Amino acid sequence: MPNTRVTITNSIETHPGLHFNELVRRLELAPGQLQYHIKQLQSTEDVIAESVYGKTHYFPPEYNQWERTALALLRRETAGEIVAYLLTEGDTPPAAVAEELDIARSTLEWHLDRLVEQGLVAKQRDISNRVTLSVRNADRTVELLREADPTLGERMVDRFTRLVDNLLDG
Amino acid sequence: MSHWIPAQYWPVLVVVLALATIGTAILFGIGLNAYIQRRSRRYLLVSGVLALLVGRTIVGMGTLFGLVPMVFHHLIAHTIDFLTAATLLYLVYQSPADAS
Repeated sequence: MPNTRVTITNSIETHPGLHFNELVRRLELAPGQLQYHIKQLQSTEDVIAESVYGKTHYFPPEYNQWERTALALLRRETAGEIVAYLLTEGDTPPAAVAEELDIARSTLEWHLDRLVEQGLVAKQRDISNRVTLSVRNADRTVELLREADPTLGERMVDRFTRLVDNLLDG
Repeated sequence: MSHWIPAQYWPVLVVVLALATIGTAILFGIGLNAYIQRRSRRYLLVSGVLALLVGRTIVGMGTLFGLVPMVFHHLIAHTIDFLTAATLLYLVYQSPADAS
């Protein structure tokens, strides 16, 4: 494998779930050049591309589809915090999660929609018919949470949405 | 160099405008990414306001390098201020509808 491709796979191994622009920045490659190598790596299945809500993330081959989507979602700082909170506290009603993490209800619901849809979090009703949230696959989710390392750009966008929602929704 | 600014202030203004351009461009980039993620009217408007802020610094640069006359500079800058205020007021007013 040419040197450039080894560098690309190494970078994806260390930071699973990176997207195209971030790889361009990290590796200082021309976009066309990276596109060419990524295509080659995909054809030999050394790299798997996964499109999550319109954004393409790149993964090493050892991650299955559920793990790829989960990791892409957990790269969002707030989603990671919600899941981490549910892992430590167990089943919790949504209002308590929003209050504890000091996020607007709209922020929580936006992340929950995706976390529930992709099978990371389950919404259940308890005996008094109140909605509670829990993590579905706790063991694997803990590991994925540890591997998720949002980039500075991802953190800034996530914190920006949190701030805007907090300001406008209170 | 423009005649409306004393020569000793020229370098200061260049530095301030350069910093403002970098700052507003980064902020707009974050806002645009947030809109791409959320796809809601709220974030479209927020990105619009941040784009106006970038526009303000571009007009400033234009005046500094003699491309935008001072009269238009003020006219454009204050129109941008009005549009910013109007958009933010609208965002605040209709925030309960967006939150639900």
